[in-house]
Parts: sequence; C-alpha cells; structure tokens
Amino acid sequence: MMHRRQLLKAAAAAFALPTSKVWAASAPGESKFVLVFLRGAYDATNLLIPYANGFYFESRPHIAVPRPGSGADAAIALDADWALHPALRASMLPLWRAGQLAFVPFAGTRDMTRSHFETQDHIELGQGPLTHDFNDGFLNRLVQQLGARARPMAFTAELPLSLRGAQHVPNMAVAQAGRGGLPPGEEPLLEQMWGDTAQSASVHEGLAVQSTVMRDLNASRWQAEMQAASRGAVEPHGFVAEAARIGGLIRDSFNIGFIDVGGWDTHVFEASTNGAHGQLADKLGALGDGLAAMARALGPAWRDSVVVVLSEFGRTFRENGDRGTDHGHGTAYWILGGAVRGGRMVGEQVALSPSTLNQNRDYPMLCDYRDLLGGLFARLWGLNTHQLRAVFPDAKPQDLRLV
Amino acid sequence: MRSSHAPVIAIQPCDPSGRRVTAPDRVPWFARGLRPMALLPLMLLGGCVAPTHLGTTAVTRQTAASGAAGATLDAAARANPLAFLDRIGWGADSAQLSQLQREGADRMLEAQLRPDPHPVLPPQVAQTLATLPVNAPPVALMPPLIIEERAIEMAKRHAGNDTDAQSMQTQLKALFRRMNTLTQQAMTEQLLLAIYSPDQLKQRLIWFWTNHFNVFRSGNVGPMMADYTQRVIAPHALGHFRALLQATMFSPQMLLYLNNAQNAHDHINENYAREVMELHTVGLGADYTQTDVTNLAHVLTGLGVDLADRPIRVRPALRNQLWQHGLVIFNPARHDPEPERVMGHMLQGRGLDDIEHVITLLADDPATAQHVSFELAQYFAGSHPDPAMVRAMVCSWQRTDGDIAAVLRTLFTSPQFAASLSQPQLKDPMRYVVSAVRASFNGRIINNVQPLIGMLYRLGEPLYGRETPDGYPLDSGAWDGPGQLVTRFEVAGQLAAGAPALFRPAPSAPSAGATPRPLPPPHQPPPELSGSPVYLAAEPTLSRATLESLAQADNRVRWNALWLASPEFMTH
Repeated sequence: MMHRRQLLKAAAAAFALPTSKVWAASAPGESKFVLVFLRGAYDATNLLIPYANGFYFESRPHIAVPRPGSGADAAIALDADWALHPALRASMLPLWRAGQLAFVPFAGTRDMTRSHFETQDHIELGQGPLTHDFNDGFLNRLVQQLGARARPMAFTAELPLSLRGAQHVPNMAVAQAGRGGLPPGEEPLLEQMWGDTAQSASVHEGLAVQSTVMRDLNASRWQAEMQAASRGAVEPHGFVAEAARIGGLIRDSFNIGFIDVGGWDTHVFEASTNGAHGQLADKLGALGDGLAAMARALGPAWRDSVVVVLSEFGRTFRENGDRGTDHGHGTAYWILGGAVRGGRMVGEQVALSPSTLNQNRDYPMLCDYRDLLGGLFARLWGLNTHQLRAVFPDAKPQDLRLV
Repeated sequence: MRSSHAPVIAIQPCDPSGRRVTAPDRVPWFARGLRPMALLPLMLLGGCVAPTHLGTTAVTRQTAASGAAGATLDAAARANPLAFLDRIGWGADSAQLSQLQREGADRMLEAQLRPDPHPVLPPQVAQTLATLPVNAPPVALMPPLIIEERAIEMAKRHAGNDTDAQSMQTQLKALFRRMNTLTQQAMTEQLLLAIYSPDQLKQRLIWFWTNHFNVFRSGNVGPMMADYTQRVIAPHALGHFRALLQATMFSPQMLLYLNNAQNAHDHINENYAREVMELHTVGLGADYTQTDVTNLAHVLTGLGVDLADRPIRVRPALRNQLWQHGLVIFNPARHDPEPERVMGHMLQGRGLDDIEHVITLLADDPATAQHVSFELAQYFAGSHPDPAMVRAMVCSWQRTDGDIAAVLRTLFTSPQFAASLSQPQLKDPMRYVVSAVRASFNGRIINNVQPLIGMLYRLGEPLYGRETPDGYPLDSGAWDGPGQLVTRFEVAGQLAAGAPALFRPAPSAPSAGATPRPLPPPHQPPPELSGSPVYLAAEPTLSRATLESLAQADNRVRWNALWLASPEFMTH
C-alpha cells in the first residue's frame, strides 16, 4: 500500500490545480448531490411508523408514536403501511406531498458488526469486501470520475473518510467560518513554507476555499436570504442556521456536499410521554427544519439537487428497558430534492413480524446502499458501468428511478 | 471522521503461559475465526523474537540490545530535540531543552517512565489547583448537586403558577451553570498540568487513556471529569493495564456514559458490554460475536451508580452480595445470576466475582495487548507504526503482565522510534495548542486557560467533548484537512499576538465572585519568539522555505505567527 505521504504528494502533483475549480460559479441545470450522514444510527422505526402492523405497538409499549388519527401528536399516514413522525409535519410533509421526498425503508449495508465505527467506515469507504484502504472514500472516487465537473466540499470540521483519497477535497465547518481571519498578505508566506510538505495541497486548498466562503458569506444579499429562508420565524439556530448557509454555498459554488449530524444513539430515553415527544422527536424536528431551510436557500438550484440522508444502521425493533433502542441493522434512507420522483416508498418491502425481522431483532437490509447510490449517480451524471465500478467496485447499481 | 483501526492481526504469543517464552520454531497459529471482512488488513506477524533460554543469557542480550538502541535514541534526540520532547511530553520548553542537553535522552526517558508521584509545580499553579472545588471526591461533590436538582425539578412539577415555575427554571439554570463551572475547572486542571507539570510523559498518558476510555462531558459526567482524569486514570497511567481497565469499569463516569448504570437483569443494556470489547480491550475483529456481547451485558448487570448516595435496600438473602464504594454500587437485586459463556469462558453466576473474572479475561487476551500496543505506538511514534516495533511491545506486554511503562520503554528504545524522530507527523490539536504555549510563554504563568479551551473547540478536539466512545482519532491524517489547517493558522495568529486573555484573572477563580474583579495586569508586549530557547533549538533543523518565509515577516507578531504556523512547529 502506498504511504499516505506519497499519496498526497502524488495527489498534489496531479491535482493541485489553480483555484479555478473552487471559484467557478454554478452552471444552471447542473446536478447537485448532498449527503447527510446521521452518525449514531437514528431510530428509523420511529421516523417511518409501520402503523398498520400491531407488532409495532406491541414491541414499543412506551416509545411508539401514536396511530394516525389518534390525536394531535399522532403519526401522519403516508400510505397504507407507513406513517411519518409528527415532528416533520411542517418541514417534510409538504415536500412529500409535492412529490419531492421519497423514503427507502429497508436500506443499509451488509455489515453485521453493529459497531457504529466499523459500519460508518464501511459505508464511507464503500470498497467492498476485498480492500480496506482508509485513504480512498467513495465520494472521492466519484469526484475523480466526474473530473472537471466536480466541485466538492465537506461542510465538516474534519474531512470525512468518504471524501478522503487521491483527489484533494476541501472542508470547512460553516458554523465556525468567519471567526478571525488571517492577516492580509500572510497566505503566500504560508504556502511557501508548506510548499514541500505532505500537507501542501491541503494548505493550498484550505486558503483558496476560505476566500471563496468568505466572499459568499460577505455578499450583501446574504442577510436578506437568511431572513427569507427563516420566513420571518424566530432566528434560525443550530443546525437550521448552518443548513441554510450550506444551502447558499452549494447554490453558488459547489455541487457535491457532505454534512454530518451526530447524537442519534438513543439507548436511553429516546422518548418521553410517547414516541411523538422527547429526544428523538426534537432531533428529527431540528433535522427536518434544517433540510427545509437548506432547500429554500438552494433556491432555483433545488430543482437540480438531490439530498440523501442516511445513517450507519437502524435500531432494535423492540424498545429496551430504558425507553430506548439498541443497535440494529436495516434503516430508512431519505431522498429529497426538486428533481426527485417522490411521494412514495422506494425499494423492496416486507411485512414486519418476528420471523421477517433480521435475527428476530431489527430490520432486514433489502436495498444495498451502494446499489442505490450507484444507480442515482448514473442518473445524475450519466456515468457508465465502468465509471460506476470505479466508485463502487462490487455493486450492482440499481436504477430505482429516483430522479 | 475516524482514523483507521489497528490492523487485525493473527497473534502469535511470545509466551502462552503469560510468563515463559516458547521455542521460536513453533508453527505459528492463527488466532481464531476472523470474519471475512476483518481478514482484509490481515498482516501475518511472526512470533516474538525470543531468546531460547531464560535466565542470564536473555538478560544479557536484552541489556546489550537496549544499550545499542539507547545510543541511537540519544543521537536522534540531540539531532532533533524538539521532535524528541514533542514525543515524550507535551512539547519542548527551555527547562526540558537544557535537561536534555545535560542528561541525554536515556536518563531523561527513564525519569519520565518513573515519575515522582508528587511532582513540583510552579507555586502559582500549585496554589490555583489546590483551591479548585472540583477536586473534592465525587461522593462529596455530587450528592448535594443531585439532591438539589431533584428538589427543584419536583418543585417545578408542583408549581402552582407560571411565576413559581419560572423561578424554578431560573434556579435550575443557575445549578447547571455551577455544574458547568466544575467541568471547566477539570479542564483548567488538566491543561495547567499538561503545560507546567514536570511529569510530562505521564500527562500525555493521562490524555491518551482518557481518550482510549472516552467519556463525554454531558449531564452529570462533566463535574466528575477531574476525578476521572486525576484519580481514575492517572494512578494507573504508567501502571498495569488490568488495573486501569478495572478502574474505568468501576468508575461512575463510565458507568453513566455507556449506560451500564441502566443495565439490569430485566432490562438489558448492552452498550458498555459492546464497547469494552470493541474499543477498550480486544478490539473489533477479535473473536467475539453478538452473543458474547449480550452475555457479557448479563454478567455486568447490577453494576451501577447512585449519584444521590442513598442507602440501598435489598432482601436479606442478597445483603451480603451488596457492594458499594463511593458512588459505585453492585446491586445483587439488579443482577442476573445465570451462568453465562463469554468468549469461550464459562462464568458461573457469582456476581461481582464474575465481573472480576471478566476483567482478567479481557485484559489478558493477546488481542488486547496487540490492540492497545498498536494505539500507543500510533500516538507516540506516528500513524503507521512499524509492525516489528509493535510486535516487540506486545512481547513486553506479555512478559510484564501488561506493565504500561515496560511496553513504552520498548517503544521508545526501539530503533524504529529513533528513526521516526526525523519523520514529521502533524500534531493533533491538543498537542499543538499545549506545545505552542510551552514554547511561547517561557516562565510567564498563565492565569486563564479559557482561550485555550476555546481553541481546542475550534480545532475540533475539545477536552471531554468527544460524544462517541471511540475517542479522537490517533492517525495524524485525521487532522490535516484544508479547513483544519487554516483554522490552525488562525490560532497561531492569536497566540502570536500574545493572547493577552491568557494572563487575565480566570473567570472561575475564587476571587472573581463577590469581590470586585482585580484590574487586568499591565499590558505586555507580544513575546519575542525569534529569541526563544525553543526556536533557537529548532533553527538548525528548519527548511529553507521556512527560513525564507520567516525572513519576510515585517514585525514581531507576524514573525511569531509564521513560526507557530510553520510545518516544523506543527509536526512531530
């Protein structure tokens, strides 16, 4: 295996292009893809409630979300089998009704370790069973295949595994952007000092991206857009504000984005009075509000955008003794965007019973994430079989007609 | 983002009995049935290179070998003093530089491996630490807070009107602020010790083990963080791994954070059981299954915490099994007494004895020696440690029953370690920030670590701020993203200007309450780092590009900022 240092040097030689990649404005009509990673394994069973099935209510005596029609905090029926968590009524239900939101209820990976870290790594590397190279994430391979078309950005404090690899991809935690800059004139000296090190490409990219982000954030229209995005409601905070800023940056300067949201590992007190309230409900509500704010901030570019929300695995179908749930297997993916053929459940489904649960414990996985994303990438960018194989070496890309 | 796991390897014991050494020609055996996925990074390692006879021959050979390595280490350390001091501590300061010059690397290393249990601190630091309320034992610190919180919550529920409810809410907020102050005091203590304590290697290990046995500051854990770092971890930081594992397993912080406090026979919570195997001991890829996790969770039922420190009532028949130490309790009424099989070992359902047995089982597993040695090697020698060096560490581990100081001695005296001093590795944020302070404010004691806490947060490595149990990544590649490096340059700029806030009175200092705040100290010019002992020691090793950039700085602050942002200062 090549050493990281050598790899980066090679990457620097091959890809340390002038900053044009970062500075190029978005072309109208070009596809945009955003991956939102919910780290910690969110409880998909309380996002999409299998309400037609008594087994759900038996299995979750304290944390079930009430049946559709049962009251103000009831789940909202989406079809004959599934209902949506009520915390998403204002943010996501309108998108579902507009046909811009679909769910894949039994998605995931073949990894059965039930380890957060192992499975997150497995997803982000996406290399299949034969290799395990920590400097070769699947989104980086996608960027390589797209060549000059790709303008990727990780909106995270650390560059995620999925975007590590031969192509140099910038990252920046937007929540912290703009706090204390470098003195003017310092950039060239910094670039000079770091010119011959393993980090030279990273330093170059970082300084270039910082000026792009600062330019976009300083643009005068920004304030007005923030207010429009919050629709005059209380000042957006936390994830909502961050997601709106990210939406604006993607609209102007990027076409592949990565965001992660943590804190979903609800072993204890997932719900308070019932599944409609408490920790998970609050988190889902904030996530939905953030995604809706991002959609609004994307403006006209929303039409060409696809956002995929995923998590490493699902949780146990039955609640544990602490009003919580433990590590599971299959999980539900969200697919949203202006071009998404939504308002429907996508992919194979199964009626839930003790015998159809995986190991009588959690959801089975009926749709491999690599097949799903591979098919989606083919649609978005017209990648051929050869290119898709470079992104996901052992996948069988499935055209789920998501867009 | 996560760094790579330690490669899964087939372990050949140097010493199956735990003490003796096998004949070197034994056919290697492959540890257990690895899952196909875990097999990928499989590296076949030979067994420990062991002398054929025990006794004098072995001892002589060992001494000779370590003597030779010592010469290499001393030469490498003198050629690159910053790199050496960055590895065995939190970075060079003038005192350590002259000590290295005087005593040489070997004596210095030996002293660091066997530190004075009561190191001498600068008087101002010793005085600050002595007055921190957070240093009360948790059994004294926590119950009053918890009882107060419950009383306010109760009153809030029964509040007759909105005004009462509002006032309860205000009281609750004030209580949480006090608890947060305690967490900040724990950070203050750890940072001041890292910057000023002479037992630098031990302080590095306290951070390392706190990260290995990671807990998160939220809720009631935060106020107990000083106890966790200084009394759960510190006494065993250079001791035996088994004792360290036991101390963390029986700590209220870990029991709360990974939910074993909620694990009882009628509602199993397997969170801790899983992570203690996956992260703390044998590691993912070792020979265990979901069934082992569940069974271990059953064994650990009843081990929990009572933060309010109330007397526990159990049936008379169970009374002699009840065990309580500080806030930690083994409650037999919550324990599942069924026998369980864990990783091939049958546990007979003897309550606390079974838990002790499990600690030995996990600590002594060869996979644990491998997993933990690899992490130590990553932290002290670089992201991709030489397998032969790790193998030697595993052998030391097995020879010494998991003596951490012995394992580290093997690491630091290996030729690979000496060679690694000339292979720069990006420091993680904690190492960067602490080393910058040690290098920059020679002799001037800082009063207020708040700005440093903020810098660590911005750089993505806040103290006690890792929410997930895996701890911060040890692979330096996790810290070199473009955004991360630019943020570092900004932090370098703050420190370069002298960070005057560091020398203002600390907000949590006892004097800053009722009495008016003392006046800030008189303005001090930014430090002149171009004449600092640390810079002068580094100068001969700087690249031409760095020297040329520094030469272009047109004022002192800019010069400082470039030096602290230089690749030579940010690495090792």
